[in-house]
Amino acid sequence: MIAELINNKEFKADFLSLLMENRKKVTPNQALDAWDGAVRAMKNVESESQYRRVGVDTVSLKKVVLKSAESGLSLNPAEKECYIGFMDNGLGLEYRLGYAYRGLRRIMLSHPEVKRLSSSVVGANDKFEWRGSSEKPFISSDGRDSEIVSAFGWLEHKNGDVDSVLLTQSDLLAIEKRDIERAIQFYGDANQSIYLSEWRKRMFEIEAIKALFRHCADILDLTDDFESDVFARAETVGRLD
Amino acid sequence: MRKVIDCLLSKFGVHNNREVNVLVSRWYSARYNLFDMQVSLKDINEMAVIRTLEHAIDTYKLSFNDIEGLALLPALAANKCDIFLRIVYLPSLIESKLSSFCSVEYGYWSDKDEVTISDAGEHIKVVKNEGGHEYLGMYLNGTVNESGEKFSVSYTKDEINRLFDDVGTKLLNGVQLEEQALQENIVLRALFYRLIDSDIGFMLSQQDEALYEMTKKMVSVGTEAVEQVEQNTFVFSSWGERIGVAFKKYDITDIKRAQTETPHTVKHLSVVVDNRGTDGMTAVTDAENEEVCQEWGSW
Repeated sequence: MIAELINNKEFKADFLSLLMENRKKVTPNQALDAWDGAVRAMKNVESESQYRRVGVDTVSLKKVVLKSAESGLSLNPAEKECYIGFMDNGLGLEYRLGYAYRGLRRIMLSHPEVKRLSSSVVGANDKFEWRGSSEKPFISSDGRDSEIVSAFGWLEHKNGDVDSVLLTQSDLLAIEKRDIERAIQFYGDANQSIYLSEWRKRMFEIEAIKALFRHCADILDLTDDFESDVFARAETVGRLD
Repeated sequence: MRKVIDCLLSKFGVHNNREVNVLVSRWYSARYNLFDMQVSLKDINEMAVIRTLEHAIDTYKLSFNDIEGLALLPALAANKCDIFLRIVYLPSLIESKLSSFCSVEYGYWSDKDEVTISDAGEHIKVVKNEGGHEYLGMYLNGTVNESGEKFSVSYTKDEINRLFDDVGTKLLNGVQLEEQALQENIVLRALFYRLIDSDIGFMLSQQDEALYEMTKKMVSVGTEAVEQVEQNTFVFSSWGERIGVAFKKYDITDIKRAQTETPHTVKHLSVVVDNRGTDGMTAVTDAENEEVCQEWGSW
């Protein structure tokens, strides 16, 4: 079943042409890498389906793969931009395109109106002033670590406008708690959560980028293109990287 | 070592003879610790060193000045038997490669320094003071040549401590560097990883895709785990059936010990041939004054 899809020349041509059209300055080699990534992702879906003894819905799978190309994102695992997620709905596997933060960042930066974006965390000892969602917040840190109390992200438009988003400490702790619970569920060990490692601060910065995407999607008219699963995946499941 | 020198001379010309000799001697004289012994580039097959070095020079089109920015390090392979060459691209080399896109300055800050971090669109201000005991972070400030955009990235104390650990564990798989300055230099390289993984990295990819890809590869060396090598190799017959397993009996410790330790003289035990009808023991031995078993069970 999957082999037919992978060897379907028309499908491959559609994928490559969509990607070339929607990914800024992509080279033919990068497009082929993205196709290889898509093939690998489809094979993973097949393995997972065999393991769960359910059939593969090739029509739905094809749609998800084409959607990655339409978003201008690569399924090449080395790029860590997006992936094919699946949920067992009782009747079979339901496929969804999952977005990693690098993919979300690429979508935002590829928008013709966007100039720059960034995110940062705020420590208890930092001087910080939230100036609303249309200005960059003020932050001044002395470079010494202190308890993380919030995180923010900002996006600067080419016309000088700014959009900012703030995640409070309770938002961050809820995200962290969810990840720790998932680590316990899957590995039986809370320490498998990256939030309990040295990269905790970085993870909160990444969460601020995801929040920035959710905040700016309406402003940048991205909502219709990406449907609600972007928000669902980014908010609830989302990959850690 | 001679072949490596010849290789570099053939690439960069004999007029660099003195510099090449000094550089290669420095690479080969550096000592690294692995468990309770020392390893160096001499533990790696010279042809393997040449192949890896040539690949790096050709892939990144390195000039003679650029190779000063390489760190050639021995790393333990996952099979625990072999030492392989790990080439690390030091920050000075990455900086020079990026010079057509941006100018950067980077370093550590210590507990005595005065630091002011605003956000990623501003430079980090570091006023250096004498007498610092520990690093509290590292930073990179940069300015894009074309647009004048400022940017900065940084790592916290916990993050750099983890990066220091990773040099020994992840990058070299157990081989420890003795030279602190080199280790600090290797860790600084991570700043460029964070630079590539930012909006400025995206800007670079749009402006000069080839430079972006090259920088990405240079900073990613060693971020993956050491390549896994099969401990045992299956042996197949000519008709394809698996008929056995070839396994390596010795690990690197045994190999190094065999290479470095001189075998000491082993005293052979004498064989007691008869203990009946005599007060003591009778031993057959050719060696004079050799210790023999005087009674059963005691020596």
